This record gives sequence, structure tokens and C-alpha cells, in this order.
Amino acid sequence: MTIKPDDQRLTAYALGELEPAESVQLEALLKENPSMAAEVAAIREAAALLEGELSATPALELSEEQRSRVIAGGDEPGQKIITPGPDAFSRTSRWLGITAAAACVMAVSAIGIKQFLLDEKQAVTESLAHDQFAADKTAENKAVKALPVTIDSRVVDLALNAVADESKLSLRKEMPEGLADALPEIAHSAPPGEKRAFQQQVAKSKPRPTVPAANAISAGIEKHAFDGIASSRGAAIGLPEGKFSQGEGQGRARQNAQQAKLKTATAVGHANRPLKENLGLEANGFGVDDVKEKKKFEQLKTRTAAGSERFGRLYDTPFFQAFERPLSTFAVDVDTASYANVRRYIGRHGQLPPTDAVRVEEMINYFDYAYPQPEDSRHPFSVNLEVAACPWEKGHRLVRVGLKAREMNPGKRPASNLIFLVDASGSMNSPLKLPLLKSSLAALTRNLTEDDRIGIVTYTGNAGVALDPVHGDLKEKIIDVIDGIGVGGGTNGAGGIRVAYDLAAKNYIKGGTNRVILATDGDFNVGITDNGELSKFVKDRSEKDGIFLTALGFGEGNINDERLEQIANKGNGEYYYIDCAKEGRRVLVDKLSSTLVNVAKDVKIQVDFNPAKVDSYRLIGYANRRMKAQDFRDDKKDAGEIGAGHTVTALYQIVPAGAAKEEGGVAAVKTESRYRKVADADARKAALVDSDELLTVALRYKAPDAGLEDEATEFAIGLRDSMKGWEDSSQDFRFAASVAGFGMQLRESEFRGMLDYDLLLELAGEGVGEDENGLRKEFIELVRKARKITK
Amino acid sequence: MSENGNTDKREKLVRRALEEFEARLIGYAASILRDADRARDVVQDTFIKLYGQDPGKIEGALKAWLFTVCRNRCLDILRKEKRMENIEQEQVAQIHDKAEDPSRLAERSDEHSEVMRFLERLPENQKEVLRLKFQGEMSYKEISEVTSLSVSNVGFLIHAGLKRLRGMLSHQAA
Repeated sequence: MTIKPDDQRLTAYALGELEPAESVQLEALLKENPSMAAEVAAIREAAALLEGELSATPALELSEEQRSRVIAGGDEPGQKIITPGPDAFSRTSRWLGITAAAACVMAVSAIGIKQFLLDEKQAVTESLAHDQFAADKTAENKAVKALPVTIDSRVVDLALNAVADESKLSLRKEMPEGLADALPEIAHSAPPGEKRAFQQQVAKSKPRPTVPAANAISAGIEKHAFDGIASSRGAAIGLPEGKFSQGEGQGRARQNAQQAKLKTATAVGHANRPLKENLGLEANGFGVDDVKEKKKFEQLKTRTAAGSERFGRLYDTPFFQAFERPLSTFAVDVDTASYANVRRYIGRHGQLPPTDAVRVEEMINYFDYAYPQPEDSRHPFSVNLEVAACPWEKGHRLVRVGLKAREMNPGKRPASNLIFLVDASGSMNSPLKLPLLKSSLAALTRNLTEDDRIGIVTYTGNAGVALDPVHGDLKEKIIDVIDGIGVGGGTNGAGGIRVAYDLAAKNYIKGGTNRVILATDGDFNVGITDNGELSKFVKDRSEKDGIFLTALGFGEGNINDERLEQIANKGNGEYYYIDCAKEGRRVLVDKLSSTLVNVAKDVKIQVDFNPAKVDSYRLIGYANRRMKAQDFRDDKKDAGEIGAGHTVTALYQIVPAGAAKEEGGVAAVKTESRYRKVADADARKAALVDSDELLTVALRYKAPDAGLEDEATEFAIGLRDSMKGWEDSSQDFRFAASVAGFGMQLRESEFRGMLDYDLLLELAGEGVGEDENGLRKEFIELVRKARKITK
Repeated sequence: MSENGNTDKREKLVRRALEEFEARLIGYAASILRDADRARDVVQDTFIKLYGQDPGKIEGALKAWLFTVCRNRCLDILRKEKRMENIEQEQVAQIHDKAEDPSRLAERSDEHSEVMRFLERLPENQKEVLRLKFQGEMSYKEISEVTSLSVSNVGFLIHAGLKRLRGMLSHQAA
């Protein structure tokens, strides 16, 4: 096989279109021919770029009307009754009156079992038509009887009858005594949270009634329907492929069902642990799904970072018990790099990101939330608290802490003194790096004014001062210099970063923004090679000279995510990952004020939980931003910065006091010691202050130009739990929850409860709101794509 | 297969098609028609047409079917337009003015997306296969089915298109 650089087979190979035999041949050839291999790499890069840009075009959707017309098969909407799709289903059932909704839920649960018994593959919602369903019932019973293993047919009947009950069919006599009456009562009395949970179990089973999901359904029915029937024999169903087992005894079955209810959701995707253990069920028929799940799990587990990309190890924050540990403290974070990274992996490469690349808080904070501006002129940001039902764990609450910094009038942006510190090393020579970097910086430059000053320093290659700071209105000159940045081979970047900080210091604008903007793909030959020394340098200069740092990450295969985030943190700065021109614009043009102008620094949040109301709590995300409680008031301890107009959102998942006993305290950290007496309930109670509040959020911050020794300002806000359900939560609350959920799902967090992609899509759909910039719709697309990848 | 079962299958197929291909088809149609609204209409028609098909026959080649139908519909519209253009040139020109050109749309939201600008500069046939490949996420074979070009022809066009694109990009980067 001979091949020239211009052979179209190279392209076919790069795109995975070559026949396997030829592919092998070519591969061997490439090994001996580096220039040819480089050609292939370049083709791939161009392809990735094109693909990224094409998928980044504005979300294209049919209008609602067009869509319903399509679903109706060309008829005018409303004329033809067809089964609603998953979206339509959730919309209708969710907002119906309680009775209707609960009945509907029952119906779906019943169908869930029916389908599951008979045809696992058939989608549950496809047969929502109740009447048809009721008609099928006889056949159904026959089918059940025909199966080789015995089952307490009352369970199936119960499920079926629940549907029939709605149309008042005369099936009451077949029901266990008391049940017929119990049903409507359940329907009425189910509190919103439970209803939600119930629906989730159903929603979960919609596309793919897996064993655990079906168990969740059976558990749900078991719990809700049988509670009213003291004498009934509990039965647990839960086997695939048409096999059945019977709960061995009432108590056991009840207990199993309880456990199953809690743990089933977690079991999905964790199938490497024996499911039996997860579910607490005697399981005989799990073989097939077990293998499938296991395979999937391993597939997920082997998700690795592309090339030599590096991501720091992250561990999810566990639940802590409020009584033992009432204070939760963390530094705010407005970085958004992780979301852009996740988008790159899923959107462009069609693979799930490495779990450590997913920082949940950065995903949440990527989006704008409509928190009001601060009314209180004493503080530069408003604090917006909200609490509602946690959508992925029954009975739990979700608390949102949302900060909104004062917006800056674009005309009033203080003058900026910016030094671009540009990586011009050889590795930047690719379409996704240098050209993107240049166009991003050029975009920023176009928005500068006469009052601003810009300088450019390059490191590695042609290291040195490329542009002595000039006023911002000399745009053409600045852009010329940006355009002229070329890559050079060497790695002698003597003083790159020092020169940049020195220039910034020399041109310091008092009362203005003074920043070094580091743009790199992760090569850190900035003149200081030692990691610790670099961090220290950046920290010192931010403290001494008041010069902050913004880190912009570019490109693929080499990105040193962890280090970029770290150094931005030390340098009182932010880290953004620029995956496409659109993101460059977002960060450097649309959000210019937030990116450049801080309204507060060293912002810390401390949440004080009331143990009378909160059994345990968990901070979602911010894993590497947590602080010791005593550092909250140590004003020398560095924390996060907030830029003008920035929103910062943090979520806590809370196990309410009382709820935990029933559910075994979830994963709260046990702090019992053999040398310590366990405080009994009375002693605990005596130790508590009487208060209705769920928690208090305290904030501490410094003015952006405050020095190391200056004292910080502090204020606090209390929160009572209004006990509202998910359906009463705000759209921003829902959307933030769905983003957090997506992050947890991608991280395979052990705390993700009953989350799965379908539920996530539902939650996000309910929170999408007006979505002016289309970013939330893009998020939904991303979740869809992730679901497709996982399938 | 009973009639009922077929209807079920059909609905399932349409729903799957919507979920997986809605955005990609509209993007593709918009690139031919240079008008997002008309692209939506075409895609709506495509899906409705799908509804009338025998699902058993299409299931296996859904993507190719959708893109083929969508493409033909787009080309029909363009042909019709051309005829009209001769008659009522002025009127059509007006429609064109109002029409949302996707490349312009993309440019507005992101004026520095050089790649999209470069893509627009490529010859029509290269542009189309590149879009099918990277927007439609199709294989050479699927593209060949949609465009009735031979597989090797598709391979050549993609190769040549990417190469030109790279040329423009590196020229810009240098």
C-alpha cells in the first residue's frame, strides 16, 4: 500500500470510514511516517472543529404547533387521540388535580407492572388509554395464571384495579377488603412530595422498565396501597423475564420493599455490586440485566480523559449530621469551565466526560438565574433562598442559596488595565487553539474604550512583550498584534508571567480593574515551573499589587484543568474553558463586566443548620471549595470573588429531622465513639434552641480593593421551610436542580438517588423558562445526547 | 402485525425520529434553503410523511430516509422558487431579504465563527456532504444513499472539502 499525503483514504481513515483491512494497513504505515500521522491528526482536528461549530448553531426546533401536528400524524392538533409522548404525559399528569393525578399515576404504575410482566420492551406510556387497558384485563389475568411460577395475584389485580377504579368498574369485590376505600384516600392524602416521588418512580420506568425501576414501582404500590390493609399478605414482585417470586413473609416483604424503595435508584448503574444486596430482595432472575448493567457500568468506569488532559480527583461531599456538625462553610465559585468542558466531551466527542472533569457547582453557575439585584445598598449582592422538595430523593428537601451581584452599567465599567499573557508554544498551533484564542481576544478588544489599557506578553516561542500597554481605543493596532502572534518552537519563556505582572503593576489603574489574562492550552512554561511556587507567586501579586488573574483554557488533548483552576483560585481570579468561538464571546464580550469587574472578594458562605429541623445535610458540588468552619471569620483566608452581575448558586440536600429515622439516616456520617455516651433524645432536645428556622445563611466578604489585613463584612439571613413541593418551586430552582442532577449523574455520585436521564429531562424541561440566550435548551440537548451515549 | 400494532410502531418511529433528528434535519434544511422558518416547514412535512410510511420498511434506514425526503423537498422548493424568480423577481427578492440565512444567523450570534464562513465558501456539493457528515452525523454510505452519489465520490468530496477548509483555517492562523 502506498499512499500520498493527498490521498482521500487518509481522510476516510481519520473519520473512521475505511474498511477494517485497509485501516490496519494504513495504521502500520502511519507508524513509520510521522508526517502522515500528523496529517491524520490535522484532518481529525478540522473535523472536530467543524462538527463543534455545526452543532453549536442555535437550537433548532419545530414550533409547538408543528410538533403536535407531526405527533398527530398530519391531522390538526386535537383531532386525533393518540398516546402522548413522555413530555406530554408529564405535563398533563403533573398538573391535574390530586385525585386525577394520583389515579393516573396508579394507572401508569399498574401498566408498568403489566408491561413489565409481559413485555419488558414495550414503553409504558404507550398504552395510557384506560378503557382499552381495562378491556385487556381478562387476557392479562390469563397470562398471569399461565406463568409457571406462583404469584400473589392480588398484587397484580390491585394494580390493575387501581386503573379500573377510576372508571368505577365493578371490580371492588375482587379487591382486598378496605382497599377500594383506601385508594381514593391515598390519592387525596398523598402530600406533594410523595406524589412527586411516586411519579418519579413511574417516570423512571417509562422508557426502560429495568428491574430496579419495576421494583421501585412495586415498592411504591406496596407502601401506599397496602398500608391501609393490616391483614394483607405483603408481596414483593420484582423479577424480569416473566419470573416471579413471592415475598417470604409479611414483615420481610414489607421491609424489603422499604429498602428497595430507598435503594433501587442507586442500584442502577452500580450493578457491579450484587443487586441482591442493593435491593434487599431475594433475586433469582437478575442474570440478564445484571450482565447488561455491569457491562454498562464498566464502560462508564473506563471513561478516561482524552490525550494527556489532567483533571484533579474530586470527592463528593457526604451527608453530615446537623446535630454533630451544624456548620457548613465554603468559598463561592463563579468558574464555569467545567460546563464548557462537559459540553465538549458530550457534544463534540459523543462521550461522557471523565468524572473528575465534572464540577457540579461550575455547571450550575454556568447559567444565569433571575435573582433580583440587591436592594440593600449596604451589600454588593442579594441573597435568595428557596426550599422545596428534592426531586431525586423522596422526603428530602432541597435548599438553594443564590447570590446575585449588583449589575454594572456597561457604560460605567471602571477602566481596565489588562495584560494578555498568551501561550505561543508549538502545541497551540491548531485551529481550536490559537485562532480561537485570537478571535476571543479580538472580540474582547472590540469592546474596550479609551480609558482601558491593553498590553500583550507571549511566553514560550517568541517570548516577550508583544505590545506595550496602549489605550483601548487603538483597537486596530491591538488586533494587529493579536493577529501577528505566531507560534515558535522554543520553550524559553524566561519571565513570561513576571513580565506580565510587572507590566500590569506599572500601569495600575486605581479604582479600576487590573488583570492578567492568561490564555493557554495547559503548557505552563510561564517562567516559573514549580507548581507551588507559581501558585504562591500569583497569590502574592494579587495580595500585594491588587492584580487579579483570569485563566482561559483552550483546546483539547493537553488541557491541564486542575492546575488552571488552582492558579486562578490563588490569583483571586476565575477560570473559563473556551471550547468554541461562541463561548469565547460569552465570557469575553457578553459577560465582560462580570469577567473583569469584581464587586466583592473573599466571599464565604456559612450555613448554620438547625438540628431540630434538619437531621443531616449535604452540600452539592463545591467539593474543592469547602472550608473549615473556623476559617469563616479568619479574614486572611482567601475565598472566592464575585464579578458584577454574577450569580452564584449552591444547593443543599437536606434530610429533615424525623424523616431520617424511617430511612436509616441515609449516608450521614456516624460519629459514635465507644468512649462517648450517645446523647439520648432528651439530652439532644435540651441542647437545642427553640427555633422554627431551618437554617441561617451567613455571608462574609471584602470589598474588591481591600487588603489582606482589612476586616470583612458579614451578614446573615434565616430561612423557614414553607414545606412547598416541587411543583411550587420557581423555574430557576428547578433548572438549577436539574443541572446539579446532571452533574451528579455524570459523576455517578452515590447520592444521585433516583436520578436518571429521563427524570433529568423532565426536570430541566420544567425549569427551562424563557431562556433568552438559548443556553438552557442547549443544556437539554446535552442531556439528551448523554442519554443516547449511555443507552 | 395487526393494524393497531402498526399504528403503535408508527408513533414510536415518529417519536424516535423527532427526538433524534429534529434539530439536525432543520439545520440541514436551513443550510439548503437559507431560511430557518421554511426549514421547519419542510421538516414538519418530512415527519408527517414518515407517519404515512410502513414502519417495518423504514425502521432500519430511518436516518437516510429522513434526510433523503427532506433533501428532495428542499430541492423542490428551490426549483419552484427559481421558476417563480423568473416571473416575479422582485417579490422573491423581498422574501429573500426577510429570510433568515442560517449562516448569517450564525454569524450574528457569533461573528467570529470563521469556520462557518469558510464552509459557506466551499462549492455546493462539498458543502452539502460536509454538512451531512458532520451535522447529520452520517456515514459515507448513508450520505451516498441520500445524495445518490457513489460512496467513493462522497469520500472524495469530503476529503477535498476538509482540505480546503483546513487551507483557509491555517492561512488565517499563520
